[in-house]
Amino acid sequence: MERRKPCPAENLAQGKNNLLRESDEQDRQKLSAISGIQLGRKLIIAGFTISTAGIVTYCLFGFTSGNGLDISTLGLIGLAIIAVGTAFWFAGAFKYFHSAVEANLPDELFF
Amino acid sequence: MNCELQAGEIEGNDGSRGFPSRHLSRRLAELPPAYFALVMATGIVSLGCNSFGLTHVSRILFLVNVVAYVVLAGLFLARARFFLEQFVSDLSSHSRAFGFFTMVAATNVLGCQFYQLAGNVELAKFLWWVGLVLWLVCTYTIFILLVVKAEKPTLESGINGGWLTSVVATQSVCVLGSQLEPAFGNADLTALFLLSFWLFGGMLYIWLISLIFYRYMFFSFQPGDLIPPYWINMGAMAITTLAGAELVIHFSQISPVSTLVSFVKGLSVMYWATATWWIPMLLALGFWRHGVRKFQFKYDPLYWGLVFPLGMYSVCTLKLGRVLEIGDIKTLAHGFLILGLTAWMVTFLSMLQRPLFALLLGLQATRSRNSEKQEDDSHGTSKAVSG
Repeated sequence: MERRKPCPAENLAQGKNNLLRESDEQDRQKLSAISGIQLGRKLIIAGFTISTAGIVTYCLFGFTSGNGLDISTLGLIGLAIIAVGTAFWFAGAFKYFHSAVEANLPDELFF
Repeated sequence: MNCELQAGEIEGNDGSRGFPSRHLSRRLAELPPAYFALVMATGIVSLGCNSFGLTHVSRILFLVNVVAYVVLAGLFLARARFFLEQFVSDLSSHSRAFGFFTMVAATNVLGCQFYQLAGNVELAKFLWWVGLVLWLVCTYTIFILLVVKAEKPTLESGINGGWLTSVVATQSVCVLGSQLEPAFGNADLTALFLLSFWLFGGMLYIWLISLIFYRYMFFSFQPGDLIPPYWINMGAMAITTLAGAELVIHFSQISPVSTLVSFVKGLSVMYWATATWWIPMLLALGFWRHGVRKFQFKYDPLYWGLVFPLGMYSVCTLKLGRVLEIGDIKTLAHGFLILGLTAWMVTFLSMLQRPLFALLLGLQATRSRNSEKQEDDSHGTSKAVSG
């Protein structure tokens, strides 16, 4: 069955809908980028806090064992905490920049 | 053949001038000469960790430092090859030239790591010679170029804390040389040579800090002027203290240091006191910059110039305590090592943001190129069908 050709009024309505859809899509992308950036920032701060706690733990237990002796288990736990913090930081930085790149934000905003 | 390029002219593999290539070539063209402060900072934090028995972190940082040194040396050579004009103009720039002295200090700090952590005396000795040659080249190139330069900036815009990197470089030659004392033949001559370096470094500090202090007190000072290398005001004194302590530890039985032990100890305490005086001052100025005037914190390679003094203060305090036989001072050294390690981690992770960003840009560029190609292909196919 042959399809009926749309009249000019219908064409206009269709175009308007498309435009509205595009603008909605852009808004959605922008919102998603902003929430991605915010999540990334939170993860970076969490990573920094966890790593700092790890450094303090590692150093304090390392100082007390010191003098060529093997570092205590607590010191090694400190190292593990540093690693976890760094992983958080990396995940946050990836999320942050990925969202920024997707949203085409200029790099001058970050560097 | 003219190998010079303008920033942004390195092309991608496919001949396109993609965003990532432009981004990276611009970074290479603008690479600050002071970037070797990364090696200085990593090295001293690693040596500090080793002094306190934190061997795991110390060894990790040692590995990071070897890689960083090789990569930076490669980048400096690439910059000299592709951006010769910028490279040469940096040598006669009042604000950037002193950054080249970080090469000297970085080489000597790496030498200390090879000596203390790997027990590699020969490589440490080789690095000391490289450091000495670099020191000679930097000292007698940069100072002379600045003297004979036709157009000079005002004191206000020309001088900054980074100038004191020349003091750090001088003292670094003394520190590694003292540690390698058994490896050198003529002990008396070595002692005189290294003592001269230590004394000259101290004198250079007095000359430069007078100008810096004058600039602080009598010229307008904006938050943007307080660049991180101002922490070298303290770091230069810390490394001078360390060099004095090393001279006493290694040469106290060898003339001429043997006759000057009390003098060296006294001056070392004076330098340590000066370094300590700077700490609250720099913290207060930092609070004014970021807390009061809300200057935004963004990664800048110059922040390595802030990490180095923290680590150096920890190490010099430990060594001075050993020389003066004051055990309680160790707690202060512990505190500064934790600060140094934290500052190192923050700066290092912030530094990795740039390559990460460039990688994501690269991925995005490849993706958009592929989708454009697909669109072109489908467009061509539909045209052929309709034709």
